[in-house]
Amino acid sequence: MDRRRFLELASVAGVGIAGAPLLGRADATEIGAPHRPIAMEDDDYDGPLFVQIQAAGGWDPTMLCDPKPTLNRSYGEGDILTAGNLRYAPVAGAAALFDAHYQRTVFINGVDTSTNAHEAGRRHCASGRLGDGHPVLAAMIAGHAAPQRPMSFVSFGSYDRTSGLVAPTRNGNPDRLAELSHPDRIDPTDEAAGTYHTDTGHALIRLVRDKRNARAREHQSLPRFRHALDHLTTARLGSDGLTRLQEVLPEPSTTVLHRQAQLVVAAYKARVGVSGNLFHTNFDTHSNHDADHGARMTELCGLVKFLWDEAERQEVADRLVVLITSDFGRTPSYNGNAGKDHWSITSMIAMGAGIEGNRMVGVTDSGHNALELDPGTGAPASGGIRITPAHVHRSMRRVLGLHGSDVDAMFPIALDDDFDPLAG
Amino acid sequence: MLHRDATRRQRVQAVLALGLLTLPASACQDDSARDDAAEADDDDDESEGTGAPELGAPVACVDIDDYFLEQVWTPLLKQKCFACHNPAGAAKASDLVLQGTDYPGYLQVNRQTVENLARLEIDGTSLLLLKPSALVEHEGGAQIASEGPEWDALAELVERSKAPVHCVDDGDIRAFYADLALLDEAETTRKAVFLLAGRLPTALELAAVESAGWDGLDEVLDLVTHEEGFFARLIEIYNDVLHTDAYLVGDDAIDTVDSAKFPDVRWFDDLPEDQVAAALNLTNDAIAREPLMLIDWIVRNDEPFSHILTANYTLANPYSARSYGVAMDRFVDPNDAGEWIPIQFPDFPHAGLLTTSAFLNRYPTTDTNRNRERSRVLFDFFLATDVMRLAVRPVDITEVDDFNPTLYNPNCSVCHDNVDPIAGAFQGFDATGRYRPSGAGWFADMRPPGLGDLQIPFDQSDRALQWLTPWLVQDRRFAVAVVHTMFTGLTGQEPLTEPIDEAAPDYLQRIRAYEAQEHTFGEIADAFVASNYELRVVIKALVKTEWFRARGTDVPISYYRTSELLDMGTARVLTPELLHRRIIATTGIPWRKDGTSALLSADFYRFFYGGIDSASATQRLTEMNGVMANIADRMANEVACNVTAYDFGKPAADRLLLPLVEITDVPGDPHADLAIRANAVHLHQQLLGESLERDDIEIDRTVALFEALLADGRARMLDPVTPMPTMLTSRCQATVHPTSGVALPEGQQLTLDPDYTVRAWMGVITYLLGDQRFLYE
Repeated sequence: MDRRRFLELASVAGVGIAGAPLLGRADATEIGAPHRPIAMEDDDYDGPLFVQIQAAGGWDPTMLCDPKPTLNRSYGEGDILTAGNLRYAPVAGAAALFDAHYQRTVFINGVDTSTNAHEAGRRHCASGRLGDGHPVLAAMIAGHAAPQRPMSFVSFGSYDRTSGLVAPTRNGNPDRLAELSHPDRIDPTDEAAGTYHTDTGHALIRLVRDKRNARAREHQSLPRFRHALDHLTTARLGSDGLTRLQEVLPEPSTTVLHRQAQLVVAAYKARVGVSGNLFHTNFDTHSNHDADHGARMTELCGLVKFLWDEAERQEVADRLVVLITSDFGRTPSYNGNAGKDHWSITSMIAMGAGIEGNRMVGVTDSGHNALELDPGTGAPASGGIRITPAHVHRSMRRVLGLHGSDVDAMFPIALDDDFDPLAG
Repeated sequence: MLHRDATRRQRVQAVLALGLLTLPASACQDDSARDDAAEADDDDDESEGTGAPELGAPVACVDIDDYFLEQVWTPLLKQKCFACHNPAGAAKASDLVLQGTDYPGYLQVNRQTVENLARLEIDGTSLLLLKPSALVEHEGGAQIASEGPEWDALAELVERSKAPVHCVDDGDIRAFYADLALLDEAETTRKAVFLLAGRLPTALELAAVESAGWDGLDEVLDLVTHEEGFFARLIEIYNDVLHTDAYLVGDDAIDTVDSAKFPDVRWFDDLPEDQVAAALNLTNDAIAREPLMLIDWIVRNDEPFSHILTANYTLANPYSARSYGVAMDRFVDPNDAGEWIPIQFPDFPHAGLLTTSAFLNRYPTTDTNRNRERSRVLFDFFLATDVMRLAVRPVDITEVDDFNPTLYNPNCSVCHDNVDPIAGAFQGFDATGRYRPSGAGWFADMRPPGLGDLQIPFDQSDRALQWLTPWLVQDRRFAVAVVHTMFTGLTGQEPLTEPIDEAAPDYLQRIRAYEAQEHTFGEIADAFVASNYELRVVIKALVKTEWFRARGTDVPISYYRTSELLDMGTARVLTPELLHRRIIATTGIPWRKDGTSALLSADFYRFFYGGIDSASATQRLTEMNGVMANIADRMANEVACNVTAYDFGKPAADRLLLPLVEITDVPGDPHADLAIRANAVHLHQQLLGESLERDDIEIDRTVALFEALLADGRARMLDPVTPMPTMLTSRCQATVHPTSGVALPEGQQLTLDPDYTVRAWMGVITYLLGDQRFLYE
């Protein structure tokens, strides 16, 4: 084949432009560069590692961050513990967590979810909006910051709607990540075994695919198709980075729940992830509340403590931001089965970088009713506002640097006041 | 927040702006007798012709929502009742608590509240009339006269509530779809046959469609939906709803069986030790699959699909039959796990799949839950109703201080009024699914067992669910639920839900899309009912809808229109199961690793590629992420490696991918150039379903890629220092059958690639296997 013919073909195929190969070897990165503008190595995201933790089923804040001994049979007034300015119920594992991290922790109590339905409450607390439509906050920051990362948003379940901002990643067999790190290698674990095509061949295939996708998108008017093409292109942009994940993934924890934290932290450390959505379940204790709910709270505290420990071990704790939410709260009184039913007043816990910690925000009365607050001072004030999940999410968006961003505009939070529960 | 009527005005203005009111007039649907109404619609259409109505002209159909808004709420309730009858008002404890305009969907909620009150009568007169006129005790005194326009308006509402009418503008619906470009008959056939049976249509089937059009497609689908591949898909589709395959693990399903009633449930324990494991697995799988196999059986035997909830039997194969104590002489082959028969348990009120132990245990209950979870999923799966969504609107639960709030407080009863009656229908089944009728009836502090106003007679309590399900399947929502399930199963998309946020900037667009889809699916549901619940009627209608066939638009579309079409057209990432089938259907070989399917094995990529285990992972991933992209790339590389030389080794007539070229065809020779181009056209058709002309730019691109790959490889073969070998790498050689591992006949073995054409075509096939059209549907 002569040079003119090759250039003609290459042009049609979208292959060879400046510096392209003629009849010899090509440098794959040289060919690839113009068409892969956001390769992982060029990704400069260095912002927060955001981890959202959902206590699915509806937790009882009076058994953790909004202690009410008169509403609980499992402890009395004298049993309430403190860490700095934080007061919390004496659930096992809580002291280890809050003694270590109270300086970076805010309890937001008296949050009005306005619902007693699980899914609606879960959505409200996880997205900041009672109705359908808003993504989980962890997906917002991933979609805003680095959607091209192959594990930008890792989700383990509960409310994890992404609203198309980012493709979620689900956990699988981590032993297979190695072979997925090198899809072009014949033997993924043996570089010497070679690749299925020459380096030029792989580059040609990628480039032609990109060209074809671009043309398809140009000629497509239906948003679903365009969206699918965009996602495929974006997914391929960052898919090289899995190699780095292998280097930082630790031995799996013997506690299955803790593996969620390990993967999310490792993905961030390897620059293949931005955020995670962890969840723990079985908080819906309509019977045998004290024993069952207490055990879940202990496991939850253990998970959060482990998350911080793992972030410190991976040297990313200074960028970790955590938001712990649930569906709603639980009734002030016990039902006939020693259980507690659904209660729309709940709490949320925020921790980490950018949050003015060692504070308790919001107030509930002895019956676990939310008191109205002066939006200027946060002090109880009749005729004031009630804290809603929207307040917390607006504040958290500020902490995460989302204010004024496209995603912030796409999913607006409408509030009539300026109350910011996470500002000091 | 926009006021509801302001929003309605916006909708009308939007419709006017689109010129849609110049299209044919409206039809009506009646909640209580939609079949009759549907017939009336046809008559209306014929009698009214196609003339454009004048603006402001009388509209024949009066929607119940419009009537309520215009004649009752705005002039009367809002003015005279709302001040007291609101959640914080003096009448907050009454049966009439109305919501304000800041309340999402407040008009519909208020209409429902008013209708509930309207059903209560004294001596044949509704309380809705007696109370405000103070003809019975009313703390607010007389607010309206006992005769006059206000009385008449309320009286008419009482009557209208008995047969509520909802108007649908057919012209508007048709206009919604007007500018869409759709798949033609052949393209629809390819898509439908693959999604239904996991294979490509045969030439004969395509010819039938070509000659007979859509009728031909119906005939093809009648056959396709009797194939084994279809039944596998049907089970997959309904497991995505029921998730009873969670029990396909160990002896989990066996543990769900009532061992007191069936003492032989672990019959295999008596077998020789080396036979126990296999028998246990087969028995467990049979019990786990009972609900799904019931669906399979009903469709396979052309029974009304409603039998999935009403069948007075369950299914067993020889292995589960042994657990249930069924005689083996009922089976042709007592060792054939694929032989299923209907059986009845003694003294057991079967109600289709609802009374299988797998279903009842997958959705367990507790002493306090009292079967409400079972009721919730029944609503969700089989009545197209998300009861949790009823509580989406804001409530103030801290205001709940009633005795038994789930019965009396509207904050709670909004859900419980729906959930509790059906929960009561499950009363004979305990927390672990065992049939233990109490004989004492249901809890007095819950709504009576039944469905809506229908109550289950007390003497039927022991068979409450069996008594109820024949009524339940007559609810139009059952038919709609089937349409929804099949739509989601085919497209991977959830049906649209009615938007509730009227202040949302895209509310008008979303409501138009919702109404169009609801109308289309409603028509299919009505046809389904009219066919006596023939599932194939649903399938054949769905694949012809715009929601299945849309591939673009005929004209450039505005931002407004784009918002309306957000959910139009299918662009799903294929599930692991579907991608596995597509690879086989198009290349003839599966993608296997270590003797198992790489995409279906949990040890490999099933979960990373978005698959489910029906237990902890129940939601399929619908967006491609970086990990999935790498799986797709590895698949493309490995499958192309395995299939290219293998295909070339076969006689040309037997090849699926490369029938029009030989490995000696290299560019530059006119005959070879033609062959290469023709085969590129064939590959686009075979792998991607694209029917392209030989001079299409995409064929140019593919041919160019082939030639570029060839040029690169041939140059490397001439490298004086490290020449590329002529021998294919061992994994890509054709020496054994890619699936069975059996050695290929010598004449079909291919190990050498002296002209680099095999590897160049391998690159082209890699390119196409990784294409968006291959990975998505």
